[in-house]
Amino acid sequence: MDAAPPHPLVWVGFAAFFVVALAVGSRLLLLARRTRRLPELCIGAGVLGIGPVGFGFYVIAEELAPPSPALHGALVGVGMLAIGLGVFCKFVFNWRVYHPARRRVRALVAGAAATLALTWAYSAATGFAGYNDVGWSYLARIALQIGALLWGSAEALRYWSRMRRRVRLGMGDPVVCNRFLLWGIGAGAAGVGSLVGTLAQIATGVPANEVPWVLASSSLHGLVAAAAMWLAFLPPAAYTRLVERRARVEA
Amino acid sequence: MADAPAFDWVCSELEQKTSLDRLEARGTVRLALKEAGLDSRSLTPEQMKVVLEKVMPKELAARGVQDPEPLCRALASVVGAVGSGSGSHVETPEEVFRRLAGASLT
Repeated sequence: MDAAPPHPLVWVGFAAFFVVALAVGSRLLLLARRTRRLPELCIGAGVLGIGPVGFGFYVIAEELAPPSPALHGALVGVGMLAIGLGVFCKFVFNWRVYHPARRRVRALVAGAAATLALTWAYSAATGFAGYNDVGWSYLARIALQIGALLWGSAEALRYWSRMRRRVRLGMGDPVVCNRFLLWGIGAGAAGVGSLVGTLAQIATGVPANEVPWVLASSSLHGLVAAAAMWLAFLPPAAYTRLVERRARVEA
Repeated sequence: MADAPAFDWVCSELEQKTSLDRLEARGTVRLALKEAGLDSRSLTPEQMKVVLEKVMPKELAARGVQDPEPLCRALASVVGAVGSGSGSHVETPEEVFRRLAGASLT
């Protein structure tokens, strides 16, 4: 097992993801407050919950190592609740935006919500001790998180593929079309990063944040997700012009 | 969810004005919509017009319809008058994602 400390550059990806997710999530929630629409509320809460809020509470709980187990448990509990709500919001977003009329998808979302609540209650009953130990609760929780991210990615990329054809025929905004691609890449990178970490933990029996190469992988995936989210939701004018120019050439 | 009125109308017109039977006409229009990245259920008359102008001639020619351009032009000129369907509008993913970057703080 590689026991070398992680390279300082590893933290760049985490920091980028934290900052961009905080900015994008907050902005989307502000949009939701203005429009009173469910999709922006869900995607904003999803980005914030899984990203800076949940991740933030976990980091505070682990890195600051509070002396009291009760305080540690409380911090982890809040972080887990934020991530659970974020995952639930991603499920609702995928359902309401891509399959609003499908009963099976609605049932899937209800099942995910019930499972997330059950895993949180189970962890709460044990004081959130060993919350990252590989067991049914951890696996169910992480599978739903990865599932929500990869499902969202697949839906966005599928829609991007269709919309790209419309844009070529002069129907549809190329910048909106590109936003589907970026969201697909961003959610996919976050999902794959989580998947790699989980598989490594199952294989090695060591928490993912204690294995340098897994940290590097997670950081890299975080960096890709951050860049994609930034370009999707806070695009610089130069990037928007580039997308429009390329679409004109392709058309 | 039912097919959009513009889809049903074009299929019906093709069935009457070409040698295609009902199944062939609907299949041909569905293939044209797929080629254009559109869905028969959420199709608008404006989108159908573009498909008739830019995609359908090729699809009809591939199925042995002689000289399809005048027919497609004629259909495109009147498809706009076909209604968009029931009043209950289901927001498309495209409409959602267009709004999401309008997240200005003002």
